[in-house]
Amino acid sequence: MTPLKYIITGLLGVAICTTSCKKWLTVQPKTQMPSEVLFTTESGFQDALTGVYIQMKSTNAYGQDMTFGTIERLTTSWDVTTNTTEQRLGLFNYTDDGVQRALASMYAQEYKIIASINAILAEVDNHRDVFLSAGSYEMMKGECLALRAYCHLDLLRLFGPVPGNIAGGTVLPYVKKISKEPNQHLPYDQYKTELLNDLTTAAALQKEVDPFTRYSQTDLSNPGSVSSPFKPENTYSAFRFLRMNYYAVKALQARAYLWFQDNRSAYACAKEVIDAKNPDGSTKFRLGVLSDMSGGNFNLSMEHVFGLYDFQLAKKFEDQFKSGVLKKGSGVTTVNNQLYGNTGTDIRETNLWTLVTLANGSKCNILKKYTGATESSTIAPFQIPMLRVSEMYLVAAETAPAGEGQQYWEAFRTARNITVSILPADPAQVQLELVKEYRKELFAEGQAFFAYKRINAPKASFLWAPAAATINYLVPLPLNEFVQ
Amino acid sequence: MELQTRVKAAAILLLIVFLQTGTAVAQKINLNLKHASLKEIFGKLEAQTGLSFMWDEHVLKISSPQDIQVSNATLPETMDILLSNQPLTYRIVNKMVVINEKTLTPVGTIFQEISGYVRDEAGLAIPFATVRVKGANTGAVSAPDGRFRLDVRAFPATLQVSCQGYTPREIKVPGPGTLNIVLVKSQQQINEVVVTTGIFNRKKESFTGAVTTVTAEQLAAFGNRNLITSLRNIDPSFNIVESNTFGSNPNRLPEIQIRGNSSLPNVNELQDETRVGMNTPLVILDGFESSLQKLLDINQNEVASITMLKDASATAIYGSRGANGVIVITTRAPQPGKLRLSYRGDVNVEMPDLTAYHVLNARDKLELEYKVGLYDNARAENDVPLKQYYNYLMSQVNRGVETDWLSKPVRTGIGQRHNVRMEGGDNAFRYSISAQVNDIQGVMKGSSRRTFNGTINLSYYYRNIRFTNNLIIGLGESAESPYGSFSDYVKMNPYWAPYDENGRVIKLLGNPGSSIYANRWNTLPTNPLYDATLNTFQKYKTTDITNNLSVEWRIQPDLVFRARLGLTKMNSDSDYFRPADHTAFASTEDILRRGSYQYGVNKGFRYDASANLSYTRQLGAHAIFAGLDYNIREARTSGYSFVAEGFTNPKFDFISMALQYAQGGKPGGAESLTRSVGVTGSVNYTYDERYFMDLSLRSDGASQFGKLNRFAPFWSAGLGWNLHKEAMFKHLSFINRLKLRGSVGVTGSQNFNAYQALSTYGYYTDDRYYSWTGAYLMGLGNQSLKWQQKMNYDAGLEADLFNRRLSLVADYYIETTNGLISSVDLPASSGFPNYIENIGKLENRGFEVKATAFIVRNQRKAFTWSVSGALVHNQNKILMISEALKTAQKSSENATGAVPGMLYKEGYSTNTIWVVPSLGIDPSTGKELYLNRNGEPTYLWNSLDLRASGISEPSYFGNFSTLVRYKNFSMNLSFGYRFGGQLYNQTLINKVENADYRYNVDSRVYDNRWQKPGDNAAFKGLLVTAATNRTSRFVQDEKTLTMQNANFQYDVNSSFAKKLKMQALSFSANMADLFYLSTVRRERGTTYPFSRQMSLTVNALF
Repeated sequence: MTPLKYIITGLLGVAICTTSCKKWLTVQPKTQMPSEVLFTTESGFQDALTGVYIQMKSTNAYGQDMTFGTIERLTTSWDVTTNTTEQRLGLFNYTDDGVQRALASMYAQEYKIIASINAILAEVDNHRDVFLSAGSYEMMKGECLALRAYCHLDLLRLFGPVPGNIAGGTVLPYVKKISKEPNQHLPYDQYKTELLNDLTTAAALQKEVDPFTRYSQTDLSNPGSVSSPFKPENTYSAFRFLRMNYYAVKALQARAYLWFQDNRSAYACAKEVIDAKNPDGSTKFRLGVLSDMSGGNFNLSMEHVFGLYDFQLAKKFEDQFKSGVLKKGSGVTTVNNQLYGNTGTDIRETNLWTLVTLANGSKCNILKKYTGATESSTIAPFQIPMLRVSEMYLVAAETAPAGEGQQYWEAFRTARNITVSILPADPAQVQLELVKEYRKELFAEGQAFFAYKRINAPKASFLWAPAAATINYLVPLPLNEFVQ
Repeated sequence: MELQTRVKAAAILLLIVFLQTGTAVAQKINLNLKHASLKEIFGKLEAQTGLSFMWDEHVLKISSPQDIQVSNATLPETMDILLSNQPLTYRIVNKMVVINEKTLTPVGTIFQEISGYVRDEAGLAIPFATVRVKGANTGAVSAPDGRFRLDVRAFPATLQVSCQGYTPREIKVPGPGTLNIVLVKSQQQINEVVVTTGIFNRKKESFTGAVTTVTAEQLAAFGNRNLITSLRNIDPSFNIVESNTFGSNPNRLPEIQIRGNSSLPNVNELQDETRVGMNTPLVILDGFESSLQKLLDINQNEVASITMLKDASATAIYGSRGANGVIVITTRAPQPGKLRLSYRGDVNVEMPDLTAYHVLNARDKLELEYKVGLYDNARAENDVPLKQYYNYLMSQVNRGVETDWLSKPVRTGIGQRHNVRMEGGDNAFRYSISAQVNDIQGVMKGSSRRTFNGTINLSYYYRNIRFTNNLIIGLGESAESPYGSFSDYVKMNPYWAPYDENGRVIKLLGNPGSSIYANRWNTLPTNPLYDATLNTFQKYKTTDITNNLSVEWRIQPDLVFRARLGLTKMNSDSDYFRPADHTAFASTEDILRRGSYQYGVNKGFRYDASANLSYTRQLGAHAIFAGLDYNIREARTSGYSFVAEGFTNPKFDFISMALQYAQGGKPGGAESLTRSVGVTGSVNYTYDERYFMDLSLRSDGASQFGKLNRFAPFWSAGLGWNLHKEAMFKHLSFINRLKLRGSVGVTGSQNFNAYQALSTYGYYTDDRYYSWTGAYLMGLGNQSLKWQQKMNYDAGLEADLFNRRLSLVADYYIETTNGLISSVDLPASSGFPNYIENIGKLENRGFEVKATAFIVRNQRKAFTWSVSGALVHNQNKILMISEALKTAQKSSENATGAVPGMLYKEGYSTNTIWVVPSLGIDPSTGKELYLNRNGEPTYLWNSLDLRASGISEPSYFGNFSTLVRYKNFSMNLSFGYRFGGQLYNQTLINKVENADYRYNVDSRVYDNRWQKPGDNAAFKGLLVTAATNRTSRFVQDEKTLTMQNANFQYDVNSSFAKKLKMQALSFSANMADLFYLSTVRRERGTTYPFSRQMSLTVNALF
């Protein structure tokens, strides 16, 4: 052989090796999973979606800041020390560094959750074939779309304009894909359309397939047990009340339509949730009553259309409430008189609060809603309410056609064991009456600020607004949204 | 096709001819004729062989009568001899011998054979020597026994014989026959002949790359500690960035830079002070990727040479790994012969160098404490016990307590190293076996590093194929000192006695026996010596086994094929045990949780395979080298660690004796897998040994690169000119060699996270949602992530002048790193704070000059004296960094504090010292006056006023050395120097200006203090307690001179050695880091002191 031949043979060999190389160069990490591998199985999708719920229950989202933490500071739900970020939040001092950081942290976490959802949505249609059990594709996609809407609605309610006073320009980005390209900020109407579209699609996808429509909460909690008719292939499709189920979509729609001032649609959706029935004809989400509260069910889990499961809730209760970090008053009077109106009967007034004595001898009035439990065999104590049927009663009371609202109002007041009043005829007065109930009912659930903001409540109607505060519902976007 | 048929036909024809002539040709011929005509001779031959001869009369006319004397020869032999001096040639066709005129032979030139042996001066065979006929295409390579055979067309011929490591020879051969060729070993074999780039071997003379080659002898003359320091002492461009923190800790890997810092940390790495690794050059051991640790631990006796590749022309063949420079280590090949045994033994002594420390003595310290008011309190109920405590301490001082804390944790470490090597074998099979035990004892008590290196090297020659297998086993065991950090001892007050009257170590210091200390100390300080008395250890063990197999097949003299496979297996584990009594657990409430054991284990496996073809060809004035290399590599590492706690009984230090795992702890671990392939092509063309050109091209694929950028091209081009070969320089006799070269090229570095480019999901290991486990997206993957690219420009000059009395190498370079891996901030709505992108640009430019001069070179008296020196200048500049990196630095930039952190700003060096410019202490107020950003004096320190006030990298650094050799004695002294840079004197600010008076301070604490208005002082008042922030007052110009190494060697003369049944015997003494002179007075070696080393070595060859 001539030298040339050797060289040519060598080159050929090299060429052959090189073409097969690209595959060889793709390595699989052991402690991580490349997204293209994760999304080749149904369980991969399930793990990614579970990841979304885990992110939702993180402390800078619904595990604290968006429920009983930062957001409740905006309505001064807890006592504050002077010259702290907490106090400045209550004073709507949005230029303060600490306030900005606190708000930016929630903003970033909401969009992080959205990015995780979008990562699933980007693959779910391409891998429809990996969903083996009936309806699981629809549930996966429906849940993702609805969760995306849930986060976007909270972002809009927090950082967007007051619904009755929409200025021009853009509000926020409605993020639908995961990308390193900056996301466009949309005008209010477009944002609203995107949000409602996601919810409509989600409802349509889930309506026929969600086991929650066919089984009761008890059935769903005991999958495969002898007593339960619900026998799924695996527990992933059970416990729908811990997930963004069909009724949660409807409840969220009610909440969204109410925000967007579409009362007719809001009522329809709220009514569907209120009227939902189990196969045996019983109400799917009944209102909690005195016996429930006195029985220790402080978060009224039977009302949860969607409850976020947090196994660390008992620890959070220890650290945040029992330690006196989150307290209202050193005695019971502030809460009893100012919040509940000293009724003496209100089941929330009589059951939800307690006085504790700290190590240093000081007393604090603390909320028991998030007591949690040490025993994990029960689910209810670990739930952080994300959507409750009681809110639906309040929505219905406000949005029902003339005269029909009173029945929901009555049902609600009765359940809470307080005197039934007659709703005023003036819608504005109704709103002011209802906002007090939102405040009491959804205390430490992160809804009070939104309730005030929706009706642009004046300071007079804003419970516990600090004297020094000028109420400002327009929370500016965090600075880290504007990077080059 | 046509070619094939022709070849076949020719083969058949030859076969027929051979069969027919076989008998006749084999016939033995005897002739003895004087001045006979050819016709006459042919007649005799016809009679003896039975063959008929045919010739043209014209042919015989041109021939001349001749003598012939053959006995018992074959016909071809006879004919060769007969016609060798005639213009004739012959063919044997069909029992006929046809005589032709030589010039008229149209086809089938008659070749005549030359054979023989190539041997060295000692008569040993030289295999693989190239024997070539000058001006023709024929050549041969010697076999393992040195034998060669060659066909020559015309005589007289000139043979060119060459072999790597020997001086090439030209031999005139008058006619065919056997030759015995002796080659002489070249003096500076590697310097002169070949550059080993690790992939291809290149002729130094026609190579355009900037390289430094270091021989084993040089390494020995420039240090005895490890290869890294020896290399630094030889060529300062191999720069060890001195760590003032870690001093001479034997277990610390040094930070190495060749031609400056060419990487920047990413956002998440800013806090990571250990920047080691970012600029680490690639280490190649016998063609395979190795590690810096190996360079530190390798058996120095096994090293034949080290080549440092610096510019693109030299490193482009390493593509994405070449940007930080390449260190190529070649180990010694076994030499044939009878079994030879060599031994080398060293005793190494390390002594702590504490000359930089100046602390107060007991009385002065206590006086200082009193002066600054540590024993004064406005409230009488506090003041009285304070005074009592002062009196107690004073009584201690009076009693004579004067503890020299500095000496407590240090010692003179005596280490030893032993080397044994056996080698031998014949021409076909050779072997060498060697072992080294190295026990390094550091200057902190209990700090040590022990290594064992075993090597088995086998080589086997079969015809023109050489098999080599090299097995290296390395074991390492290192221990950290149980005494902890040296700085803890420096700050101890000298009036504290560490031992009680029974000589037992006291746990709490300065205990007066009552609580009168309460206003001085909340809790009494603990004695750092106490922990050292406990059974505590921090150990690290490594095992690595490397097997390198290579096959070299010389297909033709010009064409060599080489295949290599390297396998490396590594294992390491670490143990860190502290019993319950350790002072670290003093504040742990739960006694059952005191005491901890941290265990970690790491495993790694790596393979590296390559196939390589190289071709050299000389055609008249044109010489060509071409090489092609294909390489694939895979490296896999994994490791995990966990912590157990609750060791109530200090005697039980086995991990299973723990009461439980660490509370809230979980196992830690990491894993990585990287793969890469590379194809390298390299071409060199030389014209007339004057002009030459190098071109290299490499395509690298690596798993770390983004999916869309899997393959990376790297290239280099170089030009060179040997001026000394030009006619105009030839008559300038003082120029022996003058070479100009220049190169340009792109290399890369890929030292980034294995999975950085991937979009991957991680699983929550400590979180769940109800009963489901969840996965989360770890970051936005960047599918187009690339390697960092370095654009290199280099221009160099190499000269040997005045009969090689002066040699000079100079290089100027500009190196720009592009596409630094850095984070890019994203709007919060993206869901991720940032993603990783190639952004950022960094430049290094500088020059290197190295010169050696022989002042005396008297061969007759065996006396030589040479001096050499080197100067390196490097300037580093950040051209661009990402916005994210700028923002990430904001917090450390804005923070107050005494120590300037690393700040990276465009337009400045990475080593810039950022401090607020100071105008000094205002004589009238005693406050420091700063210069703010508007150029106005101010008393307020503001981080916005930070200015670049110096560069901690010296502008110029280098070394100089002198070597004297007289008969059997040689002495080499080498010094290092640096100047043109600044240092931020942390001792001045921390131990003088901001001194914490509770502990011991620098003795300069009283000097130059502002006391009263009008004082022109360098430091604030003694009683001013407000902490001074970083200002330019503490930036000092640095000029440093160190004695790096002194080496003395004596070779016992061979006749005496022979009497001892030795072939050679030598003794040497070595001293390193003898002194350190600097314009900056500061504490050196803060957590671990620096050391001075001395060693004695015996070298014997049996």
